[in-house]
Amino acid sequence: MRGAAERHRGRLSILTRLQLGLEALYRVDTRLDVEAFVIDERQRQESGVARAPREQLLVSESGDELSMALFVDAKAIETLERHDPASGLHGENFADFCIALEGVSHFVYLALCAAGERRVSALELELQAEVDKFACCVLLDPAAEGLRRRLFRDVRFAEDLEPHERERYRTANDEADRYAGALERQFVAEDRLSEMLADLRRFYRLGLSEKLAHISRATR
Amino acid sequence: MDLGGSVEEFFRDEVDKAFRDRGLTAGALTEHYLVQLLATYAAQPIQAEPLALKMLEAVEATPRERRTQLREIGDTSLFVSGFWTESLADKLVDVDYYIDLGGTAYGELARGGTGWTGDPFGDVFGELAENFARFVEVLMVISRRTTHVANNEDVVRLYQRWQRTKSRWAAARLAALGVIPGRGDGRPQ
Repeated sequence: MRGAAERHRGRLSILTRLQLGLEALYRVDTRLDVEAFVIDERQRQESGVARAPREQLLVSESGDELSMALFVDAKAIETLERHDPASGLHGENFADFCIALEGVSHFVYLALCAAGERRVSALELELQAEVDKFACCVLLDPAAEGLRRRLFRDVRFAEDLEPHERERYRTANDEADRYAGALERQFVAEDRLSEMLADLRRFYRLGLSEKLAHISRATR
Repeated sequence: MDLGGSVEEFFRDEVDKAFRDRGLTAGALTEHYLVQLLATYAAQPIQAEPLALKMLEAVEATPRERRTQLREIGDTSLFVSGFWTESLADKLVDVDYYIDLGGTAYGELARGGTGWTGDPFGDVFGELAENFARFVEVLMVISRRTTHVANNEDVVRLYQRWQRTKSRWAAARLAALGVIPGRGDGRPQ
C-alpha cells in the first residue's frame, strides 16, 4: 500500500505517475493503483518464476479471476527517483525509464482487457508496450534524436529466452519500429502531435490482428 | 544503409501484391511471418540435410529443439516449393512432396496452440498448415516477379513432369503459365 500512502502525502510514486500518464495518454481508466500490485524480489522468488528479468508482470488465472503482480527492479525505480524522467530523458535514466514503463504498460493494458473480458496474447502486450515506450519518449522530448534506434535497434534479447519467446519480442520490436517510423514521418516531423495522439488512441483499442493491419496500412 | 530493413520492406510489398494478385487474404501476422521467412532465406543458404531426416529427428527431440526443427522443415518446404520450383523440375521429389511435408510440420507446430504465453505464431502455423498449397502459390508469384520469367525449356520440363506424375501442383503451374494440361490426350492445350 506504499502508493496509497504516497498519494495521501501528495507525492506520487514513479510507477503511479507512469500509470496515470499512460491512462491520460490513451484516455482510459483502470480504476486500479499499480502500487497495490507491486511485489519485491523476495515475493517474486517465492512465486516460483523460471526467469528473473528486471521487469516482470506475473499473471495467474483461477476460474473467472485474474491475478496480477508487477515486479520492477528496485534499482530502476531508484534511478528514476534521482533522475526524474519528467525533467528529461538522458543516458542516466533512459534504460530504466523503458524498464519501468514496460511493466506499467503491461499492467494497464492487461487490466483493461480483463475488465472488458477480452483475451489478449503476450505478443499483443509486448507490441503495445513497445509502442507505449515510443509514444511516451516522443511526448517527453519530440526532438529526441535517434529514438527509434535506441528503442528498437540497439536492443539485445536475453540469452536464456526460449525460441518462441525470442520471436515474440523480435516481432513486437520490429512491428513497433515500423509503426513508430510511420508516426515519425506523418506526425512528429510535421509537428502534428495531437493527430499522432488520435492515431495512438485508435491503435490502443485494437486487437492484435487489427494492430498489425493498422501498421501495414500506416507504412504503405 | 539498413539493408535488413530494406530487404524486409521489399518482400513486404511483394507479399502484399502477390496476395492481391491471387485474390487471397491472410492474417496480418501470417503476412508478417511470410515477409520474415523470405527475408531470412534471402540472406542464408538452405541447409543440405534432407528434410525427411530432420522430421525423424524432430520426433525424438526435446520440445525446444522439436519446435526449431519443425519450423525449419515447414519454412524450408514452403520456400523451396514456392520460390525454387524450377530447381525441382528433374528431382526425384517434387513440389507435392514438399507441400505434404511442410504442411505436416506446420500442423504439428499448430497443435502447440497460441495461448497466453504460448507460441506467438501458433495461429500462423495453423493457417499455413491448412492452406499450404495456396501459400506456395503466393511465393510462386513473388518468385516469378523477382527472379525470372519461365522460358520455353522450363515449360517443356514442367509439362513432362506433369505427364509423368500428374501432379496437381504441376497442372496449376502450367495453367498459370497459360498451358492448360489434361483433356485426356496428354497434350498441352
